[in-house]
Amino acid sequence: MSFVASIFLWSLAALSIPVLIALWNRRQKLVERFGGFYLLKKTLETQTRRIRLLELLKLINRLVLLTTLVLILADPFRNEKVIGEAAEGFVIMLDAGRAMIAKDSEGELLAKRQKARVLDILSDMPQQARGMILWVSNQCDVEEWGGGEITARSKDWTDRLSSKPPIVLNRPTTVDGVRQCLKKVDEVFGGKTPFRLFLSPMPRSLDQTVLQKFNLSLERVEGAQVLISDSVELEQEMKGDILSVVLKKGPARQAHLILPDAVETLGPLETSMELISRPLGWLWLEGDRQRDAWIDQTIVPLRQKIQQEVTVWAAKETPGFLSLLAALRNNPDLRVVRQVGGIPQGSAMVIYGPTVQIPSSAKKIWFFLDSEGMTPFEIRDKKTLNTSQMSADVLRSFQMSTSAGRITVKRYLILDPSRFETISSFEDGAPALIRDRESLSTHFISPFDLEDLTTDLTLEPTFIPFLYEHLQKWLGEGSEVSSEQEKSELIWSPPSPLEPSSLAIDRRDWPGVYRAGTSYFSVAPVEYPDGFFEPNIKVVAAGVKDEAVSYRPWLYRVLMMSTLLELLLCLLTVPALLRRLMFALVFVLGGLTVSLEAKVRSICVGVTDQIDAERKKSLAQLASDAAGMTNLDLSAPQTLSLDRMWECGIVVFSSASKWGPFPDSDRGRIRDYLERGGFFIFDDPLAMSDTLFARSVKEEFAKIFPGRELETVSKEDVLFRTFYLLNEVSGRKLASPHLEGIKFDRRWLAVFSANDLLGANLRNDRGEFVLSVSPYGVSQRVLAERLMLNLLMYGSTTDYKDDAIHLPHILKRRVR
Amino acid sequence: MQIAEESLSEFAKTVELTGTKFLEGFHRSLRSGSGVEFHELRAYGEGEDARHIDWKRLASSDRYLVRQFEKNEKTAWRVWVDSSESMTYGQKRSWAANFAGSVLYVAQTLGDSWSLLGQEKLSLFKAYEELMRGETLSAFPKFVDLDLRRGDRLVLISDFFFDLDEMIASLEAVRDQVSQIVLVQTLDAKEMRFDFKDVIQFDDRESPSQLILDASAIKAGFLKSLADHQGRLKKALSEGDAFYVFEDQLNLIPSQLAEFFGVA
Repeated sequence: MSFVASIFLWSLAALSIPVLIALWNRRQKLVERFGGFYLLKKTLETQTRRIRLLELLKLINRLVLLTTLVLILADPFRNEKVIGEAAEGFVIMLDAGRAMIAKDSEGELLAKRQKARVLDILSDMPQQARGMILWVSNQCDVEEWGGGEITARSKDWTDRLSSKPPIVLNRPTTVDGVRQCLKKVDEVFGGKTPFRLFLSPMPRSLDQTVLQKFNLSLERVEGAQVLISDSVELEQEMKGDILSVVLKKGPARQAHLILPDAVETLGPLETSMELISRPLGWLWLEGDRQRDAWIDQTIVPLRQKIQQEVTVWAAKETPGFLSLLAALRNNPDLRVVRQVGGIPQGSAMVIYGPTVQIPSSAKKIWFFLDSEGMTPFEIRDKKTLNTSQMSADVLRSFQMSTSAGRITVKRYLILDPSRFETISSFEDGAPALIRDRESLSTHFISPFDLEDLTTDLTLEPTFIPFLYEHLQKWLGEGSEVSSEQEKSELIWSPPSPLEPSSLAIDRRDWPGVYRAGTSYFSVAPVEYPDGFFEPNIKVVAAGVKDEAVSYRPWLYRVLMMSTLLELLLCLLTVPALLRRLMFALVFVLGGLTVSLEAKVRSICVGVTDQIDAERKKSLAQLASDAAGMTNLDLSAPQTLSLDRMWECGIVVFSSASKWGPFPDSDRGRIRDYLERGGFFIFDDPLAMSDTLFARSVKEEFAKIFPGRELETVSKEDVLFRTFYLLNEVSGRKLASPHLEGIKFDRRWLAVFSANDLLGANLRNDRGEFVLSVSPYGVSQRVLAERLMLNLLMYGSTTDYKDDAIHLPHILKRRVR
Repeated sequence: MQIAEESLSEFAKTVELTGTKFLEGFHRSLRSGSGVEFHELRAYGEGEDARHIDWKRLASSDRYLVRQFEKNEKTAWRVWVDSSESMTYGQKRSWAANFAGSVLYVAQTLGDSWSLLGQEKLSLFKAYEELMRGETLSAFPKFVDLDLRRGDRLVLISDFFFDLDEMIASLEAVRDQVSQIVLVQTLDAKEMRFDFKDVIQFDDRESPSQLILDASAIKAGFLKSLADHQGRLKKALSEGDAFYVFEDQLNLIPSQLAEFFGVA
């Protein structure tokens, strides 16, 4: 620990002051041979320990207080290594590719080593620096942070990463992944230049030349073990029920048969092996188990014994038909039956071009349409579809993304939705898989212009894999085509020292066999990078510098706590009179704070939800006018329930319906509120005599204040002169010549106006008065506003205008 | 301890002057009253003349007592004065001797019988001497061993700064034998209000014990202990008994006597 101003440490000598005071106090004590010693002793049986403890505590606290003060002056600090470049933010890109599965010279996984290192780096970041962490493979992954927020303080990241396992994906790490991450960084940080670090073992899958152009800080996670995998080539051949597997290339491996519910060990596969064909199964050629499941393992789907029979039908032979036929016949899993003309036969059929009839025996049909194609389906307007009738929209081309690439789709159909139910669609919404509600058969529609296949050879590399993929799904479980990705479940994975992380499983990154619904598929291990390179730049260390971190914030906290403790101890030990004075001081200070706050805060005016919106607005207008005309700063009306009325000193009720009846508990609450300074203003919006509202108010008050009833407010009452000097009541209509109210201890608790004071001042959005006032017109409106203002003023100031000092002036005004 | 003749005479004069002054007022009071001799206090019964209620007692003890006026029956005052070391604080001992002396003088003048507990059949002057000396009375008496008679009025004058259990048990044993127990607690102003400041070394007068305390910190606790202690004393009394707390100021004795005898 160093000090900015160590000279202040000499002030520590001041520590002797409280000690000397304590000693002096002991020496200077008076001696009293006390008569009441017996009682004193009795008192101390409970108090001595506390008092001695308090004295000791007081002394210690004073020492702490002084020490803290001195240290604050001396300003101690420590040097922390901080990455200075991260002041504007930081981005740490972590290699999450296959290379992270390698081990270092001590046998530790690089992924773990990388995690430890990143925690180190984060602890070197300035505490308040905000940044992001990205996972790089052949793509860029961003961890979700706090509901989409991807930046966080360095400490938050440290806490978060500490509790998480390292992330490793079954993908190679490529510069494309790095590039994607840098793009995300630019999106998040905009014009700023955060500190950017790529932490990776630098596998050879990264293009070193490109990587070093990215202007990144690179730090290599040292990996000692370079593992090179041997690739294996297998060939499968069906001979009746026997499946022959031949090892074409690669070393002899231990072979296992993976079935959905079991793994059978078959023994070593040296050159070939004959298996009894089963409907489903995978061959696992085991690699080095000591290394891990992602290296050298080979998982090969075995060919099935049963071939699917598919009838390929066309009305006549065309080049497109022949192309399709050839493509299908190349698939070893299919037994393709060629049919030209006639009624299509079979349960699964591929129809090329127009047909006149859908056979009822067909359970699966795949329609291919040629350029002149007519469809057996009806379009929505019930007309038979043919090319000439197709709209330009129907004919427009579009591109479709498939796992094999993008395919240009030349045509698609509009089908009769009343007959066909769309099970899945192409990405533009055109139906791909449909179910015929009448025949309950499923139809797959590929609106390709297959004639192009003969001329547009560029389409072929993407079309054939697309065809096979969809054919497999179509013949298998057609309805699961689009959703299997999400529902996939790992049912078997090669034994490995590294558990598959949830992130890897979700993305089917982990090698193994997965199930999606009733279908199965395997994910092959990605080949291991065959080595690491040493990057030419390594800049993390250069970015690290010492930064002085002051202890002052911590010392301020200690000082504050120590001061509070000192005050508390003083309060406990000072004589009662002084204690009272201190409490009084606290109250005065508190009161000052409250009054200062009160200056800032408006006087709250409450309403209940019974008031209509217009009158509430009128009240808001009056409150706003009052601010201009008086010193009152009234709030806009707050809608309150009875249990919240304490929040406002004045509550205005205006309703055409009944007020109450309230349960006894609420009546007690109202009584408390009014007796303790609250003020109710009742304004009858109907401005008629003996309304339901007026009756209910009277009835309720008879129960709230038993024995009291609303009494007429004299025109001489202070209510008529709290702000304006008034002689009469007013309102929208003069239903009553008086105000009425409940008085208690010379203060009005509630005032009832039957004349709709708020209605008289009700305005529309343009500021025009909405309701007419009668019988005296404009002057009555002005008086209504004044009376309401007087009531609000009374609610805030009560009867200060009754003070004698106001009398001469009021009398003078009255004479006028 | 031998008391000087002059001191004793001085004491007797003071006591008797105080007693005489009190009696003058007392007689005036009697003259203007029912014309009978004040005898004792007893609990107020429903339907009795409210004028006889001792309002001062009501104010001090919160009990409705009626002043009994009888001519014939005489009261026997049995007085005990604490002369322990704690009584030497302030003027407590001096006050107690003066107060007790005055009580004895008034009793004698009124024709009541009196005695200092354990010192039967003393002349008044001898009793004054005993009060001044105080030594023989220092031990707390066991009331059972004393020859207490029905109708005796037991007056205990002390600061009661000792363990009350023994005294309360002792009083309980003779409760039915005496007509009234009157406890007079005398306290110094400092004991009553604990007006000390700063850190003080408190020494015990009855033992070598000492305590060094921050007086302001202990004040509230001490006053509470005092109130609790007095509460225990009051609780030990029965209806008709009385408890007085008098400050040890000699000049206050006349008014304290008036209160003691229940005369306005």
